[in-house]
Amino acid sequence: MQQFIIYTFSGLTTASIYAIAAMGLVLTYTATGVFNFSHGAMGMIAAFGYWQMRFGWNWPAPVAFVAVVFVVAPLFGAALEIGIMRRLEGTSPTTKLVVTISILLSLLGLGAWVWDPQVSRPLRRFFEGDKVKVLGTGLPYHQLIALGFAVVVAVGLRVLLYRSRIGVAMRACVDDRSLAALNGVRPNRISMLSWAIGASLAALSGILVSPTISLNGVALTLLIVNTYAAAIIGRLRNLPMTFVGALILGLANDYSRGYADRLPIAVKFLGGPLVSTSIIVLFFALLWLPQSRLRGISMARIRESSPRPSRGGALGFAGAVIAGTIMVSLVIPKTNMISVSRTWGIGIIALSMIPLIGYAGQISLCQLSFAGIGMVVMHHMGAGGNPVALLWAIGISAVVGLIVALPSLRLSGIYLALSTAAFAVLMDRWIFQIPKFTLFGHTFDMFNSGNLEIKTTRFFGLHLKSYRDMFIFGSFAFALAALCVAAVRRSAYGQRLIALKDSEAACATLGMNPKLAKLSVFALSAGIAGFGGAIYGQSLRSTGIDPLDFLIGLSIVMVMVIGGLNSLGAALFAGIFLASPILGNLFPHLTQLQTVLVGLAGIGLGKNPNGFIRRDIRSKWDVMLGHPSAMMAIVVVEVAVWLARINGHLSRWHYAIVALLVLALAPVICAAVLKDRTAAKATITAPLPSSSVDWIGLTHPFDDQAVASLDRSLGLDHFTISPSVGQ
Amino acid sequence: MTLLEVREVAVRFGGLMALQGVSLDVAPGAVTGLIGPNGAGKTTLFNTITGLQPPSAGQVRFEGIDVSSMAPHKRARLGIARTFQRLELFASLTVRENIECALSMSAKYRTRTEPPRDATRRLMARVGLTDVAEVLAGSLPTGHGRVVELARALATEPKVILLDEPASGQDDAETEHFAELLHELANDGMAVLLVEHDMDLVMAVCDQIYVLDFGRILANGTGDEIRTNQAVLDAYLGSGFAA
Repeated sequence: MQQFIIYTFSGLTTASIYAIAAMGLVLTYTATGVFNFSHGAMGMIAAFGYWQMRFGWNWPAPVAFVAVVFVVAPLFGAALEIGIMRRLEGTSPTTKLVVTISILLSLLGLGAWVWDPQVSRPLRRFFEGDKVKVLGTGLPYHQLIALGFAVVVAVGLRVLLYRSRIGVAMRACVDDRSLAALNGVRPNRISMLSWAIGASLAALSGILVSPTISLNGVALTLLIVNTYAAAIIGRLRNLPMTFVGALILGLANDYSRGYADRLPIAVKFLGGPLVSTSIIVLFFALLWLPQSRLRGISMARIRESSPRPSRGGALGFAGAVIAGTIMVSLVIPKTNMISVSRTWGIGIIALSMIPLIGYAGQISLCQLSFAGIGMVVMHHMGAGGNPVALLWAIGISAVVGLIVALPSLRLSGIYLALSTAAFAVLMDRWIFQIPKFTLFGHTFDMFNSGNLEIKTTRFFGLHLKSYRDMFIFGSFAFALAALCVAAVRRSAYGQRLIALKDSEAACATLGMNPKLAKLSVFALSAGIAGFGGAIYGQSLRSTGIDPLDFLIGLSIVMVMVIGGLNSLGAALFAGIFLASPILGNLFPHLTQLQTVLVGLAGIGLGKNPNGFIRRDIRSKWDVMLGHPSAMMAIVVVEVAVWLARINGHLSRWHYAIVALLVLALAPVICAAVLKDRTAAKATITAPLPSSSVDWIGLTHPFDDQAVASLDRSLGLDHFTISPSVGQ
Repeated sequence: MTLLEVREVAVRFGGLMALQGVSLDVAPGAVTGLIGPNGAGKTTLFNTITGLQPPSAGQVRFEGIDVSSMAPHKRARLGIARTFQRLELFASLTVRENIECALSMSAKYRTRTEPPRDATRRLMARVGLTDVAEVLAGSLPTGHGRVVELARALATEPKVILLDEPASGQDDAETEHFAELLHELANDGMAVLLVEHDMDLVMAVCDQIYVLDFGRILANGTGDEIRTNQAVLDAYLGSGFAA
């Protein structure tokens, strides 16, 4: 009984901390419509900041506390809103989500950069050691303080949202931002305020929780998963229900942790109840959500497009990947080959996101888990390099994809993202870590006790011995997967997937079964990811659980969105960027910087939702792609430079610089040369059919000639568009 | 002979009865009008017929079969097509792809003899979209977006087509062209259910008109009967006006 009371009190404390964090999450979500994945990371940074002030600089506890929770955190939240969130109006839910994921990863990188993770930083509880006697049990002051804050925050937010003008304005902004603005609310100011409060609550929860779980960046950041569950129980809107959710979660968490110690089997197979309880609660909370109605996204808001690749373009891309890989494989030093050979596995996992997230708009954060299943299958079936194992990897991953998709069918948008995130965390913290066990006389050892051995595939007597062989083989696999994705986009099926993203309601009323389409695309994409995992595993040869970490999965999604979720080039970029040792080699002290840099790039997404590949690279190359002679010229120059390197005329770095310069400058030169010709062409195609005055500005440029024809049809005097009009 | 029958349909949103005891018949080869003030429940009725909104009570029957609990895509495959008042275009696809897509989603895709490419071209020519075939649907003005939705619905070769304010956002010439198109569709034997606020258009093309007000059918009849119906005049103009 005594123990029960202890667990109850500690459970209530955990619940209070979850409640504070979850209410902050719900507040920013209700007021701005952005689900802040980085909420936990913000709390983590705040906890580190508090440690720095309190123990690094020896400030008194109240001063440090006030400085972090009431000054720095709100300012940081407001700055985030002004600098980043404000630009996200009119982007898809995926983009919004990925921007907050970017912030999460940047903060993690920043935290690890500033506060070296190797150094232990004990954070003492408030009034360490002081207790009051309640029901015969000593109750530490720290727990009382947490409980007190939770109640104050709950009551305060309730009053703010329902009893104050600002609260009403906040709720109005969620329903319709522009309408609220017309009625005199300043939406920007409201969003800023809610981000400030949200950040402050994240900081408060971070500081309260860190003494109990040690000051560790990743652990603190992932604590947010528990908070999601509470927020989902409140359906991301309802504060009292969120509070109840936090209570359930906190108590369940501490009881299970307390009592599981008595059942060694549970400790062994439930992989630390800390993870499993919150995930299980999150799972049931998601199932309990009402079915999202078939609905299209209001079309005016979407700024994203996914053009159809031509057959020649897709083949050219695949060919360039293979040829480039073979050339590069001969100039990269052996020491770098190990990491470079991972390019294609990661690239294929990135490719798997294109049909699912890019085309069909189904946000999935568990692609890396499918890849992990591919690896496990390769380990068990691929003994001796049996190539059939690749097919098994695809097939089994696809089946798991179907199983994951089934409960997700009812969900969309942020809820789908959360359920797939829950699945990913479940896989990487629990399922992949289940130790060897024997059931009905059969021994199961899925992850080979934490160390997968993956044999490279043998094909037609070909054996991939070195990492270089694997690198080249991988490029073929990537090219194949890329062609497969391009074929999907070119097919009627691919069109239907995009249609599904644009409007489920319209799809259904035209005779398409939206559920079937979702299931099929989940299976397809999981299959591709499983294939990617099989290839990735082969280049790793032997691996533990680390490469399958949920956070790495998040960074693949993020790099993919930065490149453009509809673009094959983005997957190539993701593979090269995430596998490449270049940054680490050039700046060994700044490996954390890579995370921060990518994070910053992701943060820039608001301006550019189609990704930088389409906007900055394709747009320049489009001119050239239409001119075979120009393309030939580039190939010739690249081969010449490469031959110079092979024959030792160029040093490694000179080769890299020249080869990249040629690629960078070619479109510029080509555009300059071809400018006159294309301009001449444009004037020939200009004549305007008189019937299509309506289409001016759509099919024809809005120029003087168009104005003239408008004038003619309306019988007006002629005038020209000139700069002086605006003055 | 009626193709589509709505029988005593009710839809309740919490305490609000959006529809209450609504019954109507849509005959093939004719244009049936459905008019009523904003908020009368016209779009809700469309949602109920197409399966996006399950009714709280009542039945929707199509070709004599009760389809009330059938999924939207199954109803579409039986031959019910619609357009949306708030456009539901496939905004990131081109106009041509929008129509190709609709063709490939329809029940008749596999049995059709005409190649999809030709069918797309024919449909675009019929409604006048050939000039913008390669424009992204999301960048079209609303009026033209409605035409794309119409072409998309026609691509499924429906037996009944439900049009939700198809003429709003169109100018007089376009509306006239549209009226001709409606006549053609009805002459081909299709059943058309038209929601529209443009009374001239409604009176010109509809063979039968239903008036919906506060979720109830107020009256039905030919254009002339509706024009002189006292209950309708009261609803639209306030009581005290005589025809």
